[in-house]
Amino acid sequence: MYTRRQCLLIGIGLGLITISMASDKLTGSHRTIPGAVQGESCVGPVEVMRREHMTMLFHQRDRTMYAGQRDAEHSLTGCLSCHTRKNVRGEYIPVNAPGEFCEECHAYTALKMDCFECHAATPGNAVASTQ
Amino acid sequence: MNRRKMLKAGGAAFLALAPGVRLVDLAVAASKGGSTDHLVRWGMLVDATKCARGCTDCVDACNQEHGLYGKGRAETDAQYIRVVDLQDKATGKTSSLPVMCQHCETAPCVDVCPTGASFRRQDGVVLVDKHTCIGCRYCMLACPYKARSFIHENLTDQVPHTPRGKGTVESCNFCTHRVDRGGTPACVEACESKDHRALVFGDMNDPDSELSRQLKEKSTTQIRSDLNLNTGVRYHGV
Ligand code: HEC
Ligand code: HEC
Ligand code: HEC
Repeated sequence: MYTRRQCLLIGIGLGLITISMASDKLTGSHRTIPGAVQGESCVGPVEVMRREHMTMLFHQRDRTMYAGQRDAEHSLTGCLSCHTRKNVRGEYIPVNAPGEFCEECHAYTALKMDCFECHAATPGNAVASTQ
Repeated sequence: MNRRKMLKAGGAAFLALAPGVRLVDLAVAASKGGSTDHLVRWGMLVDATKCARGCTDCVDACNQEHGLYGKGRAETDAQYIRVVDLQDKATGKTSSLPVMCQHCETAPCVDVCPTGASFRRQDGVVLVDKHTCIGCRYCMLACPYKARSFIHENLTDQVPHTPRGKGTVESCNFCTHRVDRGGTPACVEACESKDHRALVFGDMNDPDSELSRQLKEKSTTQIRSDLNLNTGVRYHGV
C-alpha cells in the first residue's frame, strides 16, 4: 500500500502532466498553420475567423445561390485567393492538401469536409485555359 | 442547434412540402439587397435559321466555360447544350438547333424536387442548388427537354466558378456567374464572336432590350409549347 504522502505526490505529479498536456493542446504550439499569402488581415478578426468561418461560408453560399450576390468578402473563392500557397515552381498547392491552410486545422479536429469534392481548391485552374 | 435554428429548419422542411410556394418565398427573402431582380426575366432567342449544320461553337464554349469534359460515353457524359438535328418528314426541310435548359416559368423539375434543390431564381433562371441536391434524379425524368445531367463519378480539375461533383444533377445555369456581374452567357458570346449571331440573350421583361425587340419582330415558338411551361428560351425558324 502507498502511504498518504506517496499518494499526494503521485496525485500532484499526474495533475502536472495533465495540465502540461492540455496547455500544449490549447495553444496548439506543436501545429503550425501556414500563414496567408496575401493581405494584411483576414476578412474578420482572427479569433472570430477561427470559430465562425463555417457560418460565414454557409451564409455566403445561400446568398450566392439564391440571390446571386457575388461579393468576394466571404466567398469561398475569396478565401482561396489569400490562403492558397504556391510551390517552388509557382504552381498552386490545393488548399485542402495535407499541411495546407484549411486541411492543417481540419485534420487536427478530425473534420471531414466535402466542399472540395466540387469546389476547386485553388484560385486559378488549368482546365479553364486549355482546350 | 439552438431553438431559432430549429424553427428555421422546421420552416424550411414545412415549406418544402409545397414546392412552388417555397421557392419563390425563399428567393424573395434572400434577395434583400441582392443582385437578382424580380422585375427581370432572363431569356434567350435561338435563331435556328442562322445555325449551320455541324456547328458546335456554342457547345464548345459552354464545355470550356464550365470545365465539362466527357469520358467518351455520350449516354452519361454531362452536357449543358445539345445540338439537335431536325427534319420535317413531310417537306424534308432540315434544321439544326441547340437545346439547353429552357428556364421554364412553371418548371417541372422544380415541382418534383423533394428537397427544394431545384429552384427558380426570381429573375427566371432555373438552377440546382447542389448543396441540397441528393441525386435522386426525379428532375431528370420530369424535364421534357432532357436538359439535365447526373454526375456518376468523382471529378477533378473543376473550374472555380463552376463547382461540380459526384452524386448531383446539373444543367445550363445561364452562366449566372457572368450574368450576375453584367456579362452574357459564354455560348452567346462565342456565337457572336464567330459572327453567327444565332443567339440573343437578354431581359424578356425589358421592352427596350435587343431580345424583346427581336421577339416582337420574329415569329418564334417554344419547344413543346403544348406543355404551357412558358419557357425562357424561344426558337425562330424551327
Ligand atoms: C455537389 C457540389 C458542391 C459541394 C459538395 C459544395 N458546393 Fe458550394 N457550390 C456549388 C455550386 C454549384 C455553387 C454555385 C456556384 C456559382 O453559382 O457560382 C456553389 C457555391 C458556393 C458558394 C458561393 C460561391 C463562392 O465561391 O463563394 C459558397 C460560399 C459555397 N458554395 C460553399 C460551400 C461549402 C462551405 C461547402 C462544403 C461544406 C460546399 N460549398 C460544398 C457546389 C457544391
Ligand atoms: C484579404 C486576404 C484574406 C482573405 C480574403 C481571407 N483571409 Fe483568412 N487570413 C488572412 C490573413 C492575413 C490571416 C492572418 C491574420 C493575422 O494573423 O492577423 C488570416 C487568418 C485566418 C484564420 C486564422 C488562422 C489562424 O492562425 O488561426 C482563419 C481560420 C481564416 N483566415 C479563414 C479564412 C476564411 C474561411 C476565409 C474566407 C471566408 C478567409 N480566411 C479569407 C487573409 C485573408
Ligand atoms: C484555425 C483552424 C482552422 C482553419 C485554418 C480552417 N478551419 Fe474550417 N473548421 C475548423 C474547426 C475547428 C471547425 C469545426 C469543427 C466542428 O464544428 O466540429 C471547422 C469547420 C469548417 C466547416 C464546417 C464543416 C461542416 O460540414 O460543418 C467548413 C465549411 C470549413 N471549416 C471551411 C474551412 C475552409 C474553406 C478553410 C480554409 C480557407 C478552413 N475551414 C480553415 C478549423 C479551421
